[in-house]
Amino acid sequence: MTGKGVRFLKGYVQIRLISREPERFLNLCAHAGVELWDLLYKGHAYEFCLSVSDFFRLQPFCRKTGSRVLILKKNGMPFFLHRNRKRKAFFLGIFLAGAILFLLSCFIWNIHIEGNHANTTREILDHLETLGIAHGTVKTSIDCPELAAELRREFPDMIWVSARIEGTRLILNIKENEESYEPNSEKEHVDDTPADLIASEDGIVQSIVTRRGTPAALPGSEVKKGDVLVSGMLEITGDSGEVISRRYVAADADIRLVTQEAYEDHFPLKHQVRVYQKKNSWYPVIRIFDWQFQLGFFTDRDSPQDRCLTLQPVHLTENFVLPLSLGKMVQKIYSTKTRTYSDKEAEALAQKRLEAYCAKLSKEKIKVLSQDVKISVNETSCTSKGTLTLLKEAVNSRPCQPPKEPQNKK
Amino acid sequence: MKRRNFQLAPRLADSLQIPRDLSLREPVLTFTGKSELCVENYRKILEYNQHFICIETKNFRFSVEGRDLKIQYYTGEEMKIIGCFEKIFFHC
Repeated sequence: MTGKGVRFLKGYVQIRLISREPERFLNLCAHAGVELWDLLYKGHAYEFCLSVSDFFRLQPFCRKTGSRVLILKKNGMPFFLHRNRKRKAFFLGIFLAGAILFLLSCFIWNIHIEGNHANTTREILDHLETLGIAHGTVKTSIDCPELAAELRREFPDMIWVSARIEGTRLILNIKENEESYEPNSEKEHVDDTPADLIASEDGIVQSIVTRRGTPAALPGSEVKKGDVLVSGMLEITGDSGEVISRRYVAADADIRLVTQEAYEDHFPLKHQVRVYQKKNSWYPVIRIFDWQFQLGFFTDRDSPQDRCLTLQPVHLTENFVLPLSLGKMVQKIYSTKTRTYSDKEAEALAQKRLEAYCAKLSKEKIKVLSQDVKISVNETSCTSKGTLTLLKEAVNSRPCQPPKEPQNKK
Repeated sequence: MKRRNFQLAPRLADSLQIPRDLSLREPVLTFTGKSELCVENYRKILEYNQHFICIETKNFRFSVEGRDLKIQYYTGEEMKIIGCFEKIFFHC
């Protein structure tokens, strides 16, 4: 069966059949492969639809069955175009729309990047721009294999890149080597100057994994600030245990020290609080490139207030951001009041500040093993005082100091 | 001795597990509720008006009585009748 869309494009007619033998006419049509639809018995006649090409095949069947056909309605694209043949602007519009559609389909309008975690989409888009690939670039100017190779060269942690064009979309599939990814890797710049690793703080060695050099401390041993943990001197001994020669290298090791750190924090119980009004006034803001247009103004400019500007860039496609942002400016008027923390509130706040400090240490790859902090509240302030036991890499590098050669007695 | 009514084609089709509508061109009537009937493997329309439609197949005829009967499409192999069906008769 032909679909409705195809019927419309090819054109079809609705006809009325007046016949002495209508069933025979219908059977002849069916045997000849003439497709009929919407067949309806109406007032001693039959009405149905058939395609234009099939309509011209009906003449022999009419002659055989003594039938007459009347065209009731002409439907479909060919008849529509014929009816509107004198409307030149209409056809020009259709032609222009098709031409514009064809022209626009020659450009990239959406750059879709997936699989990236370490490298942000913005970074990759910026690099693509330096290569001359952006939204609106001609499709034929993009060499996908070359683009994939270029991205792998530029971003070494990308282990696999696939670039393909689908319609007007440039799709980049990226696979990154997540295991080797270190955002702030300082080890990339290895200094080969011979050096020892020394403790930067007093503590107890928890673990030591030496990659280069001679370990001078064992796990569990107590070290002072400045003690050598891994020496950069390598002694090469002979079969008899005698030192034949010495080599100096830049010591390299993972050393974790358990250290103690004093913690002290205090804050006054009296503090200022902003009480905001419930009703906020706002007006819309439009930003085009660097020009910002405010569609309104605030009446109250003297009261203490916060102004909050929220702008949302307009996206044409997923990553195609137009230089147009819409948003609003909100005015929040407040009054300042002085409040005093209760004992419980002060303790909770002190605990919160301690937790925030511990979280900050965790971000610096320092593990808090235990905390012995006492919180005391007096009439005017709250004080937290105590000691934190930390596990961290408290190690510094120091240039090797070759041992003084013993003077040979002559 | 009585002679058995031995029909080869149906038995062969059954043993080969070929559907009878393919092997013997048996008609397939598919009703959807009481308002839609799809007919395959028919021969011809014998009579049609808005209350009655009679269709001939290879082995039998059947007719449908109802109201506002309309043939939604009609090709050499398949037709679809819609309307409000009231009675269906099989004439063997």
